[in-house]
Amino acid sequence: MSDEKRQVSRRQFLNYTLTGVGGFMAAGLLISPVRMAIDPVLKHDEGGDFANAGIAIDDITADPQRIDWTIDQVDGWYESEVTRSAWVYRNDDDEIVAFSPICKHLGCVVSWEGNDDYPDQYYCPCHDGRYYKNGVNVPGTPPLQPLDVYEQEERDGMLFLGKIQPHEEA
Amino acid sequence: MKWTSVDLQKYDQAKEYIDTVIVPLAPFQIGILEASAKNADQYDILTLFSRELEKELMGRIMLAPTYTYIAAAEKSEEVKRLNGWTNHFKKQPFKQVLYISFDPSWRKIASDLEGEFIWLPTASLKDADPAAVKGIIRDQTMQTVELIKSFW
Repeated sequence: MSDEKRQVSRRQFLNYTLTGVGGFMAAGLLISPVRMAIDPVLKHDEGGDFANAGIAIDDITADPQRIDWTIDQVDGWYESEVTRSAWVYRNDDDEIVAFSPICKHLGCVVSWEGNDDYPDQYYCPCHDGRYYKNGVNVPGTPPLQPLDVYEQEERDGMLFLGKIQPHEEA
Repeated sequence: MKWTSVDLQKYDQAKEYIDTVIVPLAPFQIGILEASAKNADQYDILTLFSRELEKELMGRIMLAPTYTYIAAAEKSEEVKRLNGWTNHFKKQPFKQVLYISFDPSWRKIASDLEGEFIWLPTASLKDADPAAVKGIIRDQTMQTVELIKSFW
């Protein structure tokens, strides 16, 4: 019976305790670096980058129209309201396209039919840059790339616009 | 383009395209409350407005730092100094130097200036709500853009 009682010797007891305490300490030290290492995986993409552009899907026509909306931009601890603009229209395949109005040449703001000599084109007042209705730059004018496109989404019948991306086709 | 290191680098690579300098002119004083406060408000609006203008036409204009002067100063002295600025810009070379201001007293001596003077009617934004301010600034910007285009 006495053998049964002494199943855990003093040496074993100390071993177990030390291993346990050491394990806790190691875990405590490791947990923050591990959390940091796997952080990118845990970050969820909330899609919060999309903002209400303030136009109903049904109001978008084949004629490009300029829309302005504001987004809250957080820059570190500094939060500010930034105005964004886009030209939106419905293309021949009945898809909605939203172009960034920033000229790909030197960054002026282009406008649809901004020059009477060039109907059905986007026109940049700075250096006569032009783009066709599908956003592709007119060869021979200063811009060398088509207009950038906004990522878009429909929510409750309203148009939501997100990040600016390079034009895919052409 | 603005007068920042980032924009100056861009300017350096595209000098031949950026041929216009915009210089906002703003009077200031610290004295009689009413007049000083008015100058201060106008200074704010002018800053806001010139930034909008720059955003719209950034590929062809360089926005210079605001030229400030004491409201009661002798204008003929200011003209000399301002022409010094203009000569400095034209050496770059910039082809056009445009001054924008809410101060109508420049009008009388505008012919002595070596750049073009554009007077803007004052927009009172004091009591307007932020959305309305945006609209007013935007309207005035677009009209001034049209005016600037006529110089090109």
